[in-house]
Amino acid sequence: MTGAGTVPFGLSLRELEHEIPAVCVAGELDLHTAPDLRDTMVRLIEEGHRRLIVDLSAVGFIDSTAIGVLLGRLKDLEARDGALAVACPEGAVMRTFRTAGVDRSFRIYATSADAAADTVGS
Amino acid sequence: MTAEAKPVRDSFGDPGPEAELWLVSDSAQLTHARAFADAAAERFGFDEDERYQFKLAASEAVANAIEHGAPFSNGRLRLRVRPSVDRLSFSVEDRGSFEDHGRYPDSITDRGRGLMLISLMVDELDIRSAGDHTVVTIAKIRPGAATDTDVAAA
Repeated sequence: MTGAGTVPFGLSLRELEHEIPAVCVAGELDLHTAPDLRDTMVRLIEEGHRRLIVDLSAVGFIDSTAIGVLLGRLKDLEARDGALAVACPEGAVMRTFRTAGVDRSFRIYATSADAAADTVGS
Repeated sequence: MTAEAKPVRDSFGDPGPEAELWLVSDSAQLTHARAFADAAAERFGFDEDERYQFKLAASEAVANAIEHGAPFSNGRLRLRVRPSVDRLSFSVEDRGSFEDHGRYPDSITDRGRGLMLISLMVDELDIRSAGDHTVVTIAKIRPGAATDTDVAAA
């Protein structure tokens, strides 16, 4: 229906080195699905995590609501001296970040491993 | 819920027919709105980047109507695509008053970002609101045709 390459929406959690949680998102992030990402990130922050990674490698579409969710949690984390790193390879989502001018707001890495390596040191 | 695009009338093949879709006003239906917009963009001959830009702008316009507008009495929004020689238009029509949307202060930032994304992704954004009737139309100009328009307008 939505063309080749569209995968069902899903969220999963992985723990990377130094107990940094990575929220791995698959599918399309929009007004309907972004609240799931927000709730997961809010819960992790409330649990005391100060460094989060959001892995968008398997996301094929992102809208303004989802960008707002990421910017909101970035603000929450920075207020707690924390950090948000986004794993996002070159593609439509990365181009959307650039067009929206938020590619300099987040720390964006090609892979979650790269994000983790740099986030540990931040 | 079936959400099929129904051709309104046949055109002469290229740039494709006009089409409309009565979409249930629910955010879970956004994926159908994007498929509808993307199919039109593909028929129109946009390349992959242009298709994504058109699809994103259309999705933002529909999301705005779902979140802040009001559906017709059948619970749906009216989506239409209209191809012409030099541009592809997409509109979303609802029974809300666009001015009312400003009453949701928590949403202003996201809404502003959505409108900004639309303006960055397509060439035209037109918002017409009269009473309890709002039509938001976006249009993307076919590359190459833009130059002619610019020259004509200069």
